[in-house]
Amino acid sequence: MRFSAVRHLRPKNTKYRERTWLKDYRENTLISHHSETHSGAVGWDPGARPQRPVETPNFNGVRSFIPQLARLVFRLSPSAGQSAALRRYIDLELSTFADQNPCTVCYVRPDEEFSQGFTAPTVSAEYLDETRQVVDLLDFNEQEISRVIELLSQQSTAEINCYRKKLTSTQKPSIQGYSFSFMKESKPLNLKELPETKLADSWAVEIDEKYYRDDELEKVKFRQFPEERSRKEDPFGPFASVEEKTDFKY
Amino acid sequence: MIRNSFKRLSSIRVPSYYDRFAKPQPPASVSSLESTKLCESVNAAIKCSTSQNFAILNVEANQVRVTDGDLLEVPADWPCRAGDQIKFENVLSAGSTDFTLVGRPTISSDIVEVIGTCVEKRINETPFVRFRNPRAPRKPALSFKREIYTTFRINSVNLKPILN
Repeated sequence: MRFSAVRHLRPKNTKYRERTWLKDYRENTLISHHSETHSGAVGWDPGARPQRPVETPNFNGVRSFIPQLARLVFRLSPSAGQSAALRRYIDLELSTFADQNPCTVCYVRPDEEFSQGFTAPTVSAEYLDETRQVVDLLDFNEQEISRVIELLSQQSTAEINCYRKKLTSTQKPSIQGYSFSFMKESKPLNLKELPETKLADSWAVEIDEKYYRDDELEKVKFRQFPEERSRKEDPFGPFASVEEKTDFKY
Repeated sequence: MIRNSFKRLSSIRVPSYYDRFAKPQPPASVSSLESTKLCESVNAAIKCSTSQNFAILNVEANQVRVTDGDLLEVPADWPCRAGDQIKFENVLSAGSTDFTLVGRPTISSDIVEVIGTCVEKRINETPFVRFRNPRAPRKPALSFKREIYTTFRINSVNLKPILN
C-alpha cells in the first residue's frame, strides 16, 4: 500500500498560478494502488451526477402564477459601518420593493452580534417550497444589494439544479407516435394475412376420389344431406360423443 | 483594362453539382383544386381534433419542441419579469396527430398562437471561470461569468382553421 504524492504531477512553474483554485486537488487527483481502475485514479465520478429535469414547485404557472418568495429576513447591526449600505437600502428602497410585491413579508432584525469584528450582514430568503437561501452582504454596494434582492425575488426555489441535460421537460413526449424503422415501409410488408377460420361442421366433408371406388363414389357424392337447421342443432352429427356435444359453443 | 477584365471574369462563380443541396429550389406548385382540398381537410382536422397540439420554436438559435403544460428554459436574459405572459412568434412548425404545418421559415402568428408565462429567472450556480494566462500576466486576470436563465411555462398551443 502506497499513496503516491501529487507533487510530481503538478506543473513546475507555479509562479503565476494560484494553488487555491484547486481546493480538492489532492482528493481528485489522488492515486492509490487499491483502486479498481487500471490507471489507479480515485475521485469524482462524473457518471454519478444528479441529473434532474427542469422543475418548478407546486405546478406553478399551470393555472396561474404565484410568486414563491414568502419572506425576507435582514440581519444587521444598528451601528457598525459594515452594514451601512444595507441600512441605507432599508431606509430608501425597501418600501418600494414591499409595495411592488405584496406576497413577500420583510423582517428587519438589528442585532449587536453583527457589530463585532468582521461579521457580515445577511439576507435569508425563504420560499414556499420550504427552502432557504442565505446571502452574506459584506462589502456590498447599495446597487449590488438591490440586484441581489431582485434575483432572490425572481427565483422560485433555493434548490440547485445545475446538472440538466435538456432545457425542456414534457409530460407528453410524443403526439404523432414514436418513430421506428418500419414506419415508412410500404404497406403489404407490414400487413400479414391470417388463415381463414372454419366453423365446425362434420357434415361437410372433403372427399378424395382416390380412396373410393367408382361404385361407391356416386353414392357418397350424391347422398342426401340434412337441412341447415338440423346441422346447426347438432353439428358433430348423431355419432359424436356426449362430451363433444356439451363442450361445443358457437 | 486587362486586369479589370480579368478581375471581372474571375469574380464569376461557376455553379457546381452540389449547389442543389445547399440552395434547393422550392417544390413545384400544386394545382388549385388540390390545394383547396388539402386546406379544407386540414381545417376540418383542426376543428375536430381533441388531442394536444405541438409546435417547434426557435429560441436562441435552438429548435425546441413544445406542447401545452410544458417547461422551457432559455439560457439568456430576456426582458421579462416573473409572472409576465408572452407570445412566441418564431414558430418553425406546428401540428397535431394527423397533420403538420411547416413554415418557410416561420408560420405566421395568425395561424399559430403559442403563449407562455415566465415562471422564474435565476443565475447559473457554477460560474464560468477564465484563468490568468501565465505567458501574459499583465492581461486582466479573472472573470467570473454567471449567466441568467429564464424558464417559461407553456400555457397553450392553439391552431386556427384559416388556411387557404
